[in-house]
Amino acid sequence: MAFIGILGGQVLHSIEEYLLTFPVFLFLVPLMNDLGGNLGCVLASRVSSGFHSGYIEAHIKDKELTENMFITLLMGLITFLTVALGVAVSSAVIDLSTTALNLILVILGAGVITTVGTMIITITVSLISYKKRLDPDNIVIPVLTTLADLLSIISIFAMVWLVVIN
Amino acid sequence: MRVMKESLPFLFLCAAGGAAAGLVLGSMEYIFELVPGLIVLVPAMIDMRGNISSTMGSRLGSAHHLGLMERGLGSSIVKENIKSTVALSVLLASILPILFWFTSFALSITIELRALIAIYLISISTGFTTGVLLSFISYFAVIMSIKYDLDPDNLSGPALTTVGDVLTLLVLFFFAYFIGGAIL
Repeated sequence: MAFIGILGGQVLHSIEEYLLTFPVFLFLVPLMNDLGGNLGCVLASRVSSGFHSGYIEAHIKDKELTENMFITLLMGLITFLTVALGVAVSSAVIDLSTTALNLILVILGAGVITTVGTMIITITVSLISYKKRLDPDNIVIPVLTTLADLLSIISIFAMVWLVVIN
Repeated sequence: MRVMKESLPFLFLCAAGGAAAGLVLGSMEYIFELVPGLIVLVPAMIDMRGNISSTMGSRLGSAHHLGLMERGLGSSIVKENIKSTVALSVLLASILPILFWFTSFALSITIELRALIAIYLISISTGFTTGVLLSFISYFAVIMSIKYDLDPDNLSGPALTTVGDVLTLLVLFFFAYFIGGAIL
């Protein structure tokens, strides 16, 4: 886990120059890490309770499962859109050294990637741990939060590279 | 869509917490320039902090349910947890710089020896301090939730990690400023 964290750090280090030139993206890192992690946690605990109580069957085609996946995507979209708009609006008041459009694109893009990725990770790890008779509660959350952090950092990196540098 | 009604406010709160942490991180620009490579520690430290405090939070929550926390801070389970949390934090904090060195080496990134030493010292001091601070905060978080009749397990996870993030960054800032300033 620590190793993956350091990898995430190395990714940040590689775009450090850009993060320091546009500190707003540096500011976004913990926020997006947290959101990705929490979206995953919310999904993970619902799914885990669902498995335990038999409400959800440990199968990818289960209707309750797909419904939860859809809700997670929707919530992710809403939250990231709000953050994107909030930051874009703030850029009118505070100088954030990049255009509002860039900000929206980076946040939404990274947000979508993070939400989808987190969801896939959560569902996969939950299904696997349940099938192996391990308690999803113990495994999913630490794995998920670390991977979600790495994912959100990579997606910020990718979006900044795409939008700002090109 | 009841799930959404319950979870959305929570997610927004979490975004607010993330924003607070982001503000601290954003104001650390100078520090990142002063101590090259420090930024590599950030995600790992935050992850580590989050995992360790959540574990302690849920252990204390369960301990309370089992009635093992009668003597408050004097309870042996509390003292044990504080000791192991701090020990674990320091241990992990000393491994991080090694991983940093290793990955930098593998990625052909050069690090100045002074920077590495600075990062090592900063990592350990931050690890120790946050270990101590957060174990007490976890303890009080559990006590608070008991007092107000909330389930400790619900409160500990998200609240602790958010507070933990901001606190970890502040402590990191503090040590990086002084140790970095002294060595570099």
